[in-house]
Amino acid sequence: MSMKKISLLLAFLGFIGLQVVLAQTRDISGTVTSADDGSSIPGASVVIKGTTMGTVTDMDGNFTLKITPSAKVLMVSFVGMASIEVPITGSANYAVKLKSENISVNEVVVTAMGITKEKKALGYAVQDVKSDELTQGSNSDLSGALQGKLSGVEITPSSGMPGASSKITIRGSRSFTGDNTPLYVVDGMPISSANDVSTGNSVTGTDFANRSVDIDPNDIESVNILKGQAASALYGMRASNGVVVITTKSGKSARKGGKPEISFNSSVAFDVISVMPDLQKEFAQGSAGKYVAVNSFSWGPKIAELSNDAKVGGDKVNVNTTRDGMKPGMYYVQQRANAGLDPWAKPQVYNNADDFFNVGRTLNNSFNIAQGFDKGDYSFSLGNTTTTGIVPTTGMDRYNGKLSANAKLSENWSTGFSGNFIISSIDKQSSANNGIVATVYPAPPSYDLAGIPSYYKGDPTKQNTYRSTSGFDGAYWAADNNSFSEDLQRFFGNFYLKYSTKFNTTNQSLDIKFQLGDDSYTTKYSDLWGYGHSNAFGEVSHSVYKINEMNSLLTAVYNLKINDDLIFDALVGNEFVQKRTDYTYAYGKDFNSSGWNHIDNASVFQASDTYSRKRTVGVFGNLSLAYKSMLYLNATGRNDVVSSMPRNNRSFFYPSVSLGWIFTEIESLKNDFLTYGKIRASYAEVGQAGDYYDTYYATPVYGGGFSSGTPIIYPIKTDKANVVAFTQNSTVYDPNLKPQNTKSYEFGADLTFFKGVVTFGYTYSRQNVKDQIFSVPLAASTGSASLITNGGSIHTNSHEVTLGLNPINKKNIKWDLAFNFSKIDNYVDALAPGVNSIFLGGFVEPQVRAGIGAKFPVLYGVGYLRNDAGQIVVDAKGFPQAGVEQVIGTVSPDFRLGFNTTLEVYKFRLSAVLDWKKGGQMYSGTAGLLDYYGISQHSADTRQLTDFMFDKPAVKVASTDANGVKTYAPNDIKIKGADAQAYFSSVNNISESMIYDNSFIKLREIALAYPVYAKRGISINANIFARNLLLWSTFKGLDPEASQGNNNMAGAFERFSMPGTSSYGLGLNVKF
Amino acid sequence: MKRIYNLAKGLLVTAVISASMVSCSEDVMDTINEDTNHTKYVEAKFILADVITSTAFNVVGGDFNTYASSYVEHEVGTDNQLYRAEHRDNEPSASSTFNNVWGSTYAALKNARIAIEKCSAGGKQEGNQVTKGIAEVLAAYNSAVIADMFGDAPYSEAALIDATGLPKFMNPKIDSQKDIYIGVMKYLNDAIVDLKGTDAHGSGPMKDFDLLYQGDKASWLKLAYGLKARYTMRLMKRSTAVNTDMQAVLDNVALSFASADDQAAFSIYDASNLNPLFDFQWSRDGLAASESMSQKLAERNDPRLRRVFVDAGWMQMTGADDEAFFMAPNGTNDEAKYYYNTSIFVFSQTAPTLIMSYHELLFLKAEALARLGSTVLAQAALKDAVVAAIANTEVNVAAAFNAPTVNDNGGLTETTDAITPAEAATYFTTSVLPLFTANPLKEIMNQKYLAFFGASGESTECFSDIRRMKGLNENFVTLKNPLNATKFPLRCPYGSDDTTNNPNVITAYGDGTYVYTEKVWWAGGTR
Repeated sequence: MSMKKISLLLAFLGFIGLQVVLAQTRDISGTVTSADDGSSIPGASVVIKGTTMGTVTDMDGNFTLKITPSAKVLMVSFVGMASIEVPITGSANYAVKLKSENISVNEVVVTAMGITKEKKALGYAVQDVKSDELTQGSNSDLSGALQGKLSGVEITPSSGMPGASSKITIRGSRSFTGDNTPLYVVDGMPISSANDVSTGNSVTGTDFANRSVDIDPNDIESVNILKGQAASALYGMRASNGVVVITTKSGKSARKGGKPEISFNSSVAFDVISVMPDLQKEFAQGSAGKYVAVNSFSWGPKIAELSNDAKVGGDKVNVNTTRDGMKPGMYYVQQRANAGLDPWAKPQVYNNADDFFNVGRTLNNSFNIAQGFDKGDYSFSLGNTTTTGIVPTTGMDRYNGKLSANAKLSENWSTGFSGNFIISSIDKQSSANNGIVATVYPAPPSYDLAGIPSYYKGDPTKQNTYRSTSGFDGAYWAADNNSFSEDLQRFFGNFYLKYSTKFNTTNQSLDIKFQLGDDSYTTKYSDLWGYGHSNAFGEVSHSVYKINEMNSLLTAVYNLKINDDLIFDALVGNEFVQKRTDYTYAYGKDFNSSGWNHIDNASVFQASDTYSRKRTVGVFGNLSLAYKSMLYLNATGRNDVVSSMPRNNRSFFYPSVSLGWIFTEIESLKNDFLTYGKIRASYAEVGQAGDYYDTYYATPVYGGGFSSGTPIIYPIKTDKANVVAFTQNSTVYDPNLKPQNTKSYEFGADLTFFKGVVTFGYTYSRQNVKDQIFSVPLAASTGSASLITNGGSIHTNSHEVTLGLNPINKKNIKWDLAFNFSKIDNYVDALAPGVNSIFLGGFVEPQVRAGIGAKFPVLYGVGYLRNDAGQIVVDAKGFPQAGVEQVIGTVSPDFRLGFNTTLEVYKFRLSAVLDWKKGGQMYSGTAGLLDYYGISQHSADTRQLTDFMFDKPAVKVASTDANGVKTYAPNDIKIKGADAQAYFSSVNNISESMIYDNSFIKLREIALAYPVYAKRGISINANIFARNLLLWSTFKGLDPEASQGNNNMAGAFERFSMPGTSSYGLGLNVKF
Repeated sequence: MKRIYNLAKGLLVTAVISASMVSCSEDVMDTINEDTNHTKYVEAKFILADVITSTAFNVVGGDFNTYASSYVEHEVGTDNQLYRAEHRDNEPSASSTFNNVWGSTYAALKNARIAIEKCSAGGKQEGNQVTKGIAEVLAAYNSAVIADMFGDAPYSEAALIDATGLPKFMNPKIDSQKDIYIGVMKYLNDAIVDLKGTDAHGSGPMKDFDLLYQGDKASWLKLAYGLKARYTMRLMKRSTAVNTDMQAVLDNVALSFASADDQAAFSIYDASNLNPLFDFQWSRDGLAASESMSQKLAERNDPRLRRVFVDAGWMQMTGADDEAFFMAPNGTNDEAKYYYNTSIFVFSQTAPTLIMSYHELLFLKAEALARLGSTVLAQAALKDAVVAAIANTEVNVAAAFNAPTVNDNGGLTETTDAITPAEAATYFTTSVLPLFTANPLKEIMNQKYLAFFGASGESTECFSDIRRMKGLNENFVTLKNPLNATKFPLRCPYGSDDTTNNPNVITAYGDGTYVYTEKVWWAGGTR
């Protein structure tokens, strides 16, 4: 579809150059249709051979043309179809049939700086996803909609929550602790896509969305991924992580004249939790087989036996029955008494987790009106997504508006603008260690979590739940009293003025374009922990980010067709980017009274304000040479000057060169088997700058460690004064900081067999990153915590394969398959001298790190105690023992394989996306803790066994000789089922026991579309879809993609993360 | 031609406009990158305000104290990390356990050294001798903590910055405790000289920024002498002239605190700024009441027994015969919160952290006198010490009953009367004196042990005392955790920031099990 639109655009642009001819003419007319299915082809180019005279076909494929007697042959062409020449006869009417040719050959893609090129002319790998592929599963989140559809690109979601962050990396990581996410360029202008707020260690608090969440996939015409540095080199430093080039829907492709084109999309989807852990339903709350009323463990007696409990059983004489009388078959529940209910309850099993999660709902509406005129076009879009999450109080509301227009002012001048406005608000809940889920899954099956009010009678802020609420708020209480929100207003857009000339020649052209753009947004993050949080008085913080990035771009493109075989292109440009970041923070703690959770009710305040600027000035150039549609050579250079680096270390130059050779253009190699073949190679260098500051002092911040809040806060009130303090900032900066440098090589081939029945692409790339800028952890004995400096190197080997199959291409049955294979191996070669590893996130232990010689990143923490032979050594009880802290897992998968297929039978279109991740591990605190708490089915099964053994191969100490040398024998020590609690408690101390292979196969999307109505210019398509419908994983009970962190630790670490979701829904698309 | 001219003109105008916006000289870029959000220079008083806070909250009352309270059986670890510490399972030897406080201690030392330099000759606040003296006392304190807790450790190359603010040494070498203690004593001696001077620099004295003594240099001087007494006693095993050193202890004691009003009490805690023991328990609920502690109090018929324990329903326990009396057995307890009784001190939200207490000073006096054979004087000193200690216990108990956050959640129920000084004196006569008579030193050390039980952050100092006694083969205080037979922690492991980043410390740390086998130097060890 979109191919046709692009070709229309090209045809339209081409037509501008055509000249009107007056003398001795006659009219001919005709129709251009597809030889494949007989459909008419609008926008096909019809040119008189040897001239620039011609036209394009209208919406019905018709054309009329005035010809002179000298005209002998019509050349008819259309992108994606084989061009043909039609002799001009005496006839006034011509019926032209075009055959489709291999689509990938002449496909047009948008490359760096918005330059449109034929895909075949590229010396590096790019991959695009078109509108219909993107929206087939009706995913309102762009990164989710891209999953499984690209090779060389890793998309790591965090959870199924509305607005949840997700991380995209292309060909691995280049920075340990810095940004590895690609640059987003929307309609020619770079925009911010990263998160304003990092989740930091990601063990507490909430998730923070990335700004790519602001993009509405429904307004996207195409997404093109510039994977390698050669592809993105023109963008300079910011593009060292690759570029996501987004082209939104515009009026350029809309039909000319007449009525505007109007389309309306609407979909509704329902979300449910994707995977639920297998929780036991037999044992009551308590420890060591005894019931304990306020306790996080479910190691109590059998639920059925609670009425016999010595202390609380209604069948027994005890304090409670002495007071209330015997209560046969019941037991005394302290929390029911707290809540003012009858404290006596019949022992019963509750499905607390099922009760807690809701069915989420997403409603998505988008509207677009577009129209083209002779001298311009416009497009206006409105979109809204309203989501409620599966966790109570969570949701997202997003409104997108866009207006774009282009006008041709004169023969040489054209102008246009595009403006996007977005309002969104995301409501979240706390995730991670002390998050809302931390008191849902572990809720004992004997406890009526949903039924017993979460607060004391008469005191709505005093928490009442099954466990201690000192660090963990009760889930229902948290939903009622805590709130976390992100509110955004954003404008981004640009204006351009373009001058084009052909110098009155037929073989030269010059386009000079000035584009001025701005990306301006304000986000407000509010984190409110209500009065009663952590049994204290609550706290609230508001962080407001005002970001403004101005982008001025001046480019001049010169094209010279030297002769029929040689085409020369040159580009020079200048880019000026200035980013202003204004951050205001207000914090209030300890509300004076309950019932009004507001900063004005706080008794302790803190505020902060920072304003910073960053300027990048780039000068760049590009030279390309094309020989006989066969050899394409491209070279670029860019020099950036960056303000954020130390004096005299600010200016950097980066080159790139690429070569593509379409060997099937050689006459002797032309054949019907391998119909198209290209090999390509490229080399590029590009860097990343850091942020340098002189050493400074700041007011110290207390918290972390064991504290659940902020135990000390400046200013400290004394009798006489409010005392503030300053201390040297724990991070210091290297005055000799220089930019890090990525050198990359890329080799690849694109092959097409049987005219497009099979397409195959392979790319190998190698990136060597040196002088990485990162926060080098310092020995704390220096008195400082970290140094921002150059240190370390990392390399990436990446293999990408795309395979497309088109086995059936009949009029009524079409079947496409596509495979996207990525194997990305990212290895840390060196860190700064003396540094063995660096911390990316997690707890004091376990954590996510970068370690020398290891794939990036690794999981690090307390491992099993092993002997010199590497065998796990159990103790006398048969329990594994804690060894030293070490690498206990690798995160990076062996490979990923995305599988897409589309089957069209008559008018039904069935599409599906499968995603396979093979290998890679994660730390799952949840899985380990559910055993530790005695709530997992596994723990209940284990405690009922007569005996069991540690489940991994292990040895025991057989003997110790006089010199203390130990000999080992295979572990045969049986552990009594009754000791299961002690066993799981001991194992929980060993983080390695919580490392899981999280390989999976997911059915990401499946959708069925049907055009229910298509008459009189109105078409209505209906579709039903499901996302994340099926999951096969070795990691049971939890979604292997539900994790914590929006930074480089993403995907590796989880501990009561927000769960993933599966979605089901239906949609309607109306066009007229 | 005209078109080309127009084109050229247009290009020129565009180029000029963009060039003017595109200014990128180093000066312009410096201006853009200027960090206006932070200060690059602050006076010493701002730095020292946090050195005091961090020393009190992080170093004295923080993680050292929390773990030490389990090691010395003031409390019993009953959940998660503290449970595992109680059961000697990984935590005591893991480099992550004390990493936060490892960093805090060195940061405090670095900041104290920055302040010393600022107020020294050639520094920006040259002439502020008193401020410098305060910084020296704090530098001495944190240096001694490093040696006491970690043994041989980075010192002479540690916590030092160069002119640009970067560390002078990225991988500080390890120094012996002997050398660290030479440094400690030098800091204290320098402080004693400086604290007798004035703050002559125009920036003036610390005043309110001194969160310990509000700028009262006489009090700081007393603290400096008190610390000299403490550290002289600490090094007794390494003394070549014990009697001389014991006399030195007495001489320093004489110049130190005259009453509890003089003690180094960090007393800024309120509803929002929290006593660190309270902060730990309110966040984690990891500590339960110690059975061996209750036994020691019961053996002495100690009135503190009725004051210092509460049940799971926050009712003060009247004594061992209380029907809810349920202590956690040391080292053999179950991992369960809200199950055992707790000490009342875990609720003492506003109890001051005592960087050095008056009662500690009196116990040092009693011990020195006893070691010199002056039993009569020792007895009098011990009586003062016990009365002062019990008075401090009541301060901490009152802090629990008056804890704002606890009271908002229902509050504790008080069931017994406070111990008056008269009752404390009677207790001394009836219960302590006979034990003192039987073995003066033993009872002094036992009473000191009991005195350090509280919310004042003194379990850390108690942990050093226990190890000092072990070094002297004077095991006066009987600990009950059966795991102590093989696994009594003799020190804290190095922090993981150095066991991963500093090759000198990586080697010294090994697998961390040395914490169970290697005594610190002043307890007779070699490293």
